[in-house]
Amino acid sequence: MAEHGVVVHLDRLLEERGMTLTELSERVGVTVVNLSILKNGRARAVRFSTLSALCEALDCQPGDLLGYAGS
Amino acid sequence: MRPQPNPPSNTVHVAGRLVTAAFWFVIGFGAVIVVSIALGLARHGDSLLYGDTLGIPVQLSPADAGRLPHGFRVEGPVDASFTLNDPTTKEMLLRSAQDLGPLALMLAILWQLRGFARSVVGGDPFGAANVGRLRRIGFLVVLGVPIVDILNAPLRAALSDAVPSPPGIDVSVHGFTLSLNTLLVGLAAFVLAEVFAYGSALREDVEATV
Repeated sequence: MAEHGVVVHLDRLLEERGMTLTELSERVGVTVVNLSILKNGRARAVRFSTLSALCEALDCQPGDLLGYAGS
Repeated sequence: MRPQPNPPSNTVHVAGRLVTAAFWFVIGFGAVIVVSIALGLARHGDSLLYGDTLGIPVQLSPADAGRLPHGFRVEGPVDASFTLNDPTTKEMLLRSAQDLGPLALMLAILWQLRGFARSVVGGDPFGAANVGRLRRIGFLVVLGVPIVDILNAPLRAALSDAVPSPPGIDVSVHGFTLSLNTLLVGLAAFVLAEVFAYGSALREDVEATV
């Protein structure tokens, strides 16, 4: 987990929706590399535009995608 | 190599090539110095760079500078040069050795600048490597320049033994001087290093933003 304590549940959501990272990348317009950074907890910040695009593509709320596990 | 939002300008490319050219020029000059010393040893003081005459920098007192028109005056010691004909091997070595310190210092600084220029041309200037390079340049300037001057001072003093002391004329050699300009350049390098450290941290934040 990164030092900020925010957890990204992208793996779980992709599995639930039967979507691959590459498909998600094509839908939201974010590179696979950056999505991997997000998925693996190495991102330091997420733009609202990216978060909105992810929520639309995954049909979820930000709270479904992000969690907080403490620092 | 990271993607470049703004490719380096032609000016940066030219500057990079100039730094590289300066680096290799100094290397070549260093080789010339070595060859010059070798020839000087073989020819009993007749070196390649200085030949059979040596110009020894000296200083004269203002009173010995000669008569000047009314209203003109000399401020402080006057820089002059004494021409020593047919220097001995020892005198040649004393003069040539004074070139080695500045040469090594310049090579060290140019090596750091070369790496710095390459990173800028490559579009990746904000990294830890450049922070280190700038700090090293700062140390080389702030400490290296005075150290080289201190090391050369006894060589200058020893060489000055070959300078005659004409009656009534006060001749001296340059002692150690601490240049404020040199200090400022070194401090500027340290400040720039901190700017690049901040830039590097900002870059990492941007790259880790999805």
